[in-house]
Amino acid sequence: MQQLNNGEIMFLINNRFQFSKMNFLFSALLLLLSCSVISNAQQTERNFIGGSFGISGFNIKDEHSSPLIFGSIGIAPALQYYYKGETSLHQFEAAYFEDYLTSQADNFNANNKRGKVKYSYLYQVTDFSIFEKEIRFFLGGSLVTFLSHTEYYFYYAPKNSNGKGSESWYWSNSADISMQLEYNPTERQFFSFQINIPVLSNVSRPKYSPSGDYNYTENDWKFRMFGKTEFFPENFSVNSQIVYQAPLAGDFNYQLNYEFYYSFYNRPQDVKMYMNNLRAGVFYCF
Amino acid sequence: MKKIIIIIAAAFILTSCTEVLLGPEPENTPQSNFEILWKTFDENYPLFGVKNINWDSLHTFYASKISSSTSENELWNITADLLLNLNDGHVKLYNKGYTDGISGSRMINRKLYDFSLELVKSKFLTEIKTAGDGYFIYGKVKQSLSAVNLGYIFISTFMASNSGNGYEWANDINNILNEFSGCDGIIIDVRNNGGGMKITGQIIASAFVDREITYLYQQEKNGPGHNDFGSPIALTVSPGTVTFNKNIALLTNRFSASGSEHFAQVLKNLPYSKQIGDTTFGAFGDIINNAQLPNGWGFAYPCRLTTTPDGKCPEGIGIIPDFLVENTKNDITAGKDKVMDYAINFLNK
Repeated sequence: MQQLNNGEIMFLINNRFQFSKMNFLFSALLLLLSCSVISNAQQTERNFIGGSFGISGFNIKDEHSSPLIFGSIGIAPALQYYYKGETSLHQFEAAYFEDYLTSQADNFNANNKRGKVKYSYLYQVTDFSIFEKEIRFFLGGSLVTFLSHTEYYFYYAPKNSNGKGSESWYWSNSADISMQLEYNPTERQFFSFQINIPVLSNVSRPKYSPSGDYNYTENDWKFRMFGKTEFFPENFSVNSQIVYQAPLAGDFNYQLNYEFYYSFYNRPQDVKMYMNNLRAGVFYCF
Repeated sequence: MKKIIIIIAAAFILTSCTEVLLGPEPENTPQSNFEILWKTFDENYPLFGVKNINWDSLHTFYASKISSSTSENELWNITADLLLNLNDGHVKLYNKGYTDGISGSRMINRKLYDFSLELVKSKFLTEIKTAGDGYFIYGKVKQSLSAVNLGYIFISTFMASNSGNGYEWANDINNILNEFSGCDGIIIDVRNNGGGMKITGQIIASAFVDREITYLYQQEKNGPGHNDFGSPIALTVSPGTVTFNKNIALLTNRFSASGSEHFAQVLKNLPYSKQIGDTTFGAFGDIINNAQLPNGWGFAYPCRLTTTPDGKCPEGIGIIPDFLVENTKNDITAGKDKVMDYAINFLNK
């Protein structure tokens, strides 16, 4: 029989522990989903679908490619869908961001593209009153994929053009815990604050050396969607959104939305980023 | 309206939290620029071990020369001196705008005096043509100089061209070899070829190999320690659609660098090929990093450790020729290319 040393035993124990945690989280998520199906069977439903557009202030410090902070304000379009039951919420969101980033050294710049797709299910666990306003508290989970892809350029004066120096990315696919506070003055009007924090995630980052991701045939870098599986707090991020919707005309609502996102991950080198998004949009209600 | 004002105010407050959320912006001071460069090399340069360089000692020595009053020119010279200790042609330092740069190699300061393409063309060649977006210059060796039919191919670079995907030009080697099908031997000249893309060298080399050849192994850095490397990656070349497997004389000099040295290492494995001239430059690691400093300077360094199949690292050494033949400046001025003469005689034996 093969002998295991202490390190191998600890590895097996840790792996078993990680699997147990993963099973628990998925079980909890499934339980919440099944509760919602039962509880929503005969309740009033309302759907909101629409698009919004706005600006995104984004800053990133990715030490894989540069010690400098790059930042800018760019565009932030998004598509969103909300299904609101009496005691549960389904939300879907797809957002895209594109920025031309600058740094303190005016000859270094970067192109950044970000995308986020999120599905959330939240279940009302309680409600309470503040200043005679009824606030509902929802708890649930989200499945999120978030990509930030950055190409770093340097100004090459002899050709009066930019040369590509390196490329880096952060791609997180995560199961998040989600919490939401919501105030509904009327059936078509709501004000909500939601916060998401990843619990289990899979993160793709470049290899330590850029040469490891360099495709010599294509003469370019290759990036991947999946990488290392992490548990909270290894891949830490926080995504909070404040949404206000109110009737505009007929079956249409307008929406104002502020979103804050921050993430920190330390492999293969530290990457930290945050963004503030302000959007306004129109939603069809049915 | 009140809610909107609150939202905008919150966004404004959070936007001003950059230092809290991302950490401090590196300072643009002489000390900070030096420290960032030193640390980047410390954590990423793969050749401290094989070159037996004590990077910490160099930090102690050079950092002591820098203060907040160090001028940009002084910092440039101190940094250049530091990097020269690496003696690595793949180490570069660029000024802001990349209008000026220095190499971390002592060899790069030597004069390019031992080769003249114009001399080769005028004295040795006939039927001279170009191919591969101008990167190939080829012709036949004059019959008055050789009893057998010899072809000559000068490869000026292995860089990407501006056409197609950048490396398609290398496929023109097949057309050249079709024209040289009646030749008894070929002289391939990579003197003063500073290298380029790995793929172009492999395409051209594939036209000369008779079997799959693993010619080098490379290990990329996978951590900040000086000995943190990933698994060896084998670099191989297989025969292409058109191949020339007769006698080959490969001409090299000290400025046959990087991709040219990979090319020379492939041909080193062929019994029908001999390398004539001087030892190659001695820079093998892939150079794709363009690192940044707060003052706008850029720098580059290799990020792989290269070894031969028998486990030796040729960095800083180069590929040693089978026949060492050197031109002097006077030779070239007098219209002599002893390396070409030797190659023609060798292929006539």
